[in-house]
Amino acid sequence: MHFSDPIGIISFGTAIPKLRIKTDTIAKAWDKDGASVMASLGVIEKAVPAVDEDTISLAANASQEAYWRLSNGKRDVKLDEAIGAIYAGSESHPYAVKSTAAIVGEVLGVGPRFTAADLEFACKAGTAAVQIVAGLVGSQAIEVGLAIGADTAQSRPGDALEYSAGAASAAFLVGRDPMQVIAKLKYSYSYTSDTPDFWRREHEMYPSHGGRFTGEPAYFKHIFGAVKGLLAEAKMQISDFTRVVLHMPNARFPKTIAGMLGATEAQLAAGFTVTMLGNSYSACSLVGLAATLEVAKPGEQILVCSYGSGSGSDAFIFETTKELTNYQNNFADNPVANETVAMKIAQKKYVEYPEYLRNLNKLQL
Amino acid sequence: MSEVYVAGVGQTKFGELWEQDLRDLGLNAAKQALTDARQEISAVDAILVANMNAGIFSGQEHLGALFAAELRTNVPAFHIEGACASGGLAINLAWTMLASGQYQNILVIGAEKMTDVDGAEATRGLNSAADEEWEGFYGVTFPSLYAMIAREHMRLYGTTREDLAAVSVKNHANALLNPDAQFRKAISVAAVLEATPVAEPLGLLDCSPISDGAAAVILSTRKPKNSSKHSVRILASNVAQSSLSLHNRQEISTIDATITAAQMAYKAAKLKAADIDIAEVHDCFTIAEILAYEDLGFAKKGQGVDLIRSGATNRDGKLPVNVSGGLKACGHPVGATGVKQIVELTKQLQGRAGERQVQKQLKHALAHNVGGSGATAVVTILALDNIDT
Amino acid sequence: MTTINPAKAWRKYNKRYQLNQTAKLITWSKVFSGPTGFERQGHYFVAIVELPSGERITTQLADVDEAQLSHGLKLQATLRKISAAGADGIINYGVKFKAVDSKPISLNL
Repeated sequence: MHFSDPIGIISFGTAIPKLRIKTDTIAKAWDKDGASVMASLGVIEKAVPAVDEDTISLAANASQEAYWRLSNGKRDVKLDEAIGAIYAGSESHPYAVKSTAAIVGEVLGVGPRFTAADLEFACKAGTAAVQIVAGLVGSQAIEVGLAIGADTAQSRPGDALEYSAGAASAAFLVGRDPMQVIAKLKYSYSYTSDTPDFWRREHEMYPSHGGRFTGEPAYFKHIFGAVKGLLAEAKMQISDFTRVVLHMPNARFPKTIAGMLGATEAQLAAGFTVTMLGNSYSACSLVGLAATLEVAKPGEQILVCSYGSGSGSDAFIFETTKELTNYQNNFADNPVANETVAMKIAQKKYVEYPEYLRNLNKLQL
Repeated sequence: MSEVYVAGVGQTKFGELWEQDLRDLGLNAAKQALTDARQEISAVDAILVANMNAGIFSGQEHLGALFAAELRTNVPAFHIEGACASGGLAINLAWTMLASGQYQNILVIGAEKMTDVDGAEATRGLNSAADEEWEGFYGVTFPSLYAMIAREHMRLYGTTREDLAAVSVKNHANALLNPDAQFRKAISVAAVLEATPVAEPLGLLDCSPISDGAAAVILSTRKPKNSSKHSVRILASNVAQSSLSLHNRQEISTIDATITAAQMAYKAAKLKAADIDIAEVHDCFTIAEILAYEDLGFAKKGQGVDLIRSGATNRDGKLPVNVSGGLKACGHPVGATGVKQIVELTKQLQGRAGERQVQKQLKHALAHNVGGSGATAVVTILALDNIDT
Repeated sequence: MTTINPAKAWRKYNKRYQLNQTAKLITWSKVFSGPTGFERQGHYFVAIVELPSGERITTQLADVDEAQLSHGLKLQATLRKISAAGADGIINYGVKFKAVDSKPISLNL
């Protein structure tokens, strides 16, 4: 997909819970050796929601931050009126029926004239939201759209997934005002198929997944396919990119596919958040993108590729603009919206295994 | 305006009374009061029923009608509600109705049945005394509201947890001598400090309990005929309101409604705070008794702790407060409390409080009843007739 | 078990959702036993905070570090779950306040 100039990101925000649990703590609960789990997955600790946090609160807080970074922390009636669509992607929407996106809109105070819906596509529902919103903006159907990825990822206690399933949200405002666009969206390419690597049936609390099947036929095949297709369409090479942000189910997979694509660890560095946050599912690659945009300079090419089980990958090419520096300086001075992803990662408090189980309602109370 | 006398009093035990329901409790107290007044129900020309939560706890409203029917009378009957001040409000309204000359002999019943629901439900029921929308929504509980008051009082005036504990210790000591009290067990300051935390800085022994119970009085414009005891008159009864929510209160650590009601009552009775010989105050939580000392004018603002530290409010002190055991140790069946205070003070004034009788000469007594975190306050002043001051 | 009336909650959405940005902590209490709807949250902190306008509101504190709590502490708003009426009831969201992290920032409070 090619997007005309100047569609792109005009603001973004994130919400990351303060609580963390160490891989070692989880391992001990199941009589496993923490050191070897960490060596194998590369995740040291992950974010855990507090008992009063869920996908909706995370989505709302991330969206509010994105809004305030643009409005300087105040109500902006023009921005309210410009936002014509909100899409929220998650695997852990608190309601099976009652839209997360609609509640976020109510919290932001932008309605009632907007369209909204919730999306699900495992860990790529957030990037799917970005594509939809970009399409509505690009076709000039709306001026500004809000795309959100948010999750309080579920994993069965004792399952390998437990070490990496984290929680976070990232929200992106997409528009077409050249004065506002900080990262132009140039191309997007998606690679989708029916691949049963990981799924969750309605009414089930926890997902089920394949073992090694989740590797080559799933994660690797779709990311590879999406990125290759994207580069071909844009007539670019991987070395053209300053930054590469990939979906991170653990620390190993993205490093491996990066190697296969010819991307370096330096390119991955800014957006490589999995080590200290875990995999926040629909928010994962978007949080990586937010972290990247918080340190990027104007004129950089950024490649982003998500992966959602089931399966699909959405790949994007962003090009940062000269507006980015102004934007970064602006929000640094904004007391309610100046925490970067790096700062949020650094503010943490550890919990033990029982509190983690209670907060994620795994005890089915 | 007619004079109003306390013609008869009655009270059930307070506590967890599994075998009695609201009806049983109210009737029990009413019959005791009628007996004490040497009256038949036919002498009563109105009934006021004070109760806060019968709707939530028992599914029963329409209490005026319920008790009139149980007592086999069809005189006007009213349900009065003002959260924990329901009893005091009922006394106040009865006094007003009598003073107006429209009625001659009113039965006031205060009753509450709280133990048919579990703890979380009881807390939720009591929460309806707060601002349900703007306080209750956020999960405040009554202990937490008074805990926030306590924290402010401690910050501003240096009040300590030990000061608060001393209130509980005193009231428990008093209740040892009260056969109707819920708790008849001495406690120590250390026990209060170590008790299970409920809402910091308040612990279990800083908080009045969940209780069942009832109290009743007959108020009359006719001076009681029995000459074996001096008659007790209501000199004044005043009500004042303040903000429903604690966050809208002028000063978090002051119950201004108490100050206003007390000032009006003293004025109407032509008395000063120093003229009060004995008081029953609203110690729903220990901090509330310290506030009461200040807001009723027994001590200056911030110096309420001096009275508890010096022992001035002990049973044998200069100004005995809560000789019944107060809400903390006698128990707090919400709607009954304000009426029980009148029962207790009447008995004390008339020298018939049994083992816990205060020994010094008593002429003027004050009852203080508060609703919510301080939204409603009722101050009633009683006097013993035929006694030279 | 549901005691939350959705219409009642809905009526106050725009007042409950206003992420009033900053506030000052006035008084608070750590609550160990909550009423119905709050029994399973473990302990939580209710508080009275003062908004820049001078208006005071009752709320809860989020992400609490107890050692930090003091009268006058600078706070900022965050949206959180307040309560839910069981697994099948409406979820109530509202504003809670968390400590502003100590960085040199100018806040007009």
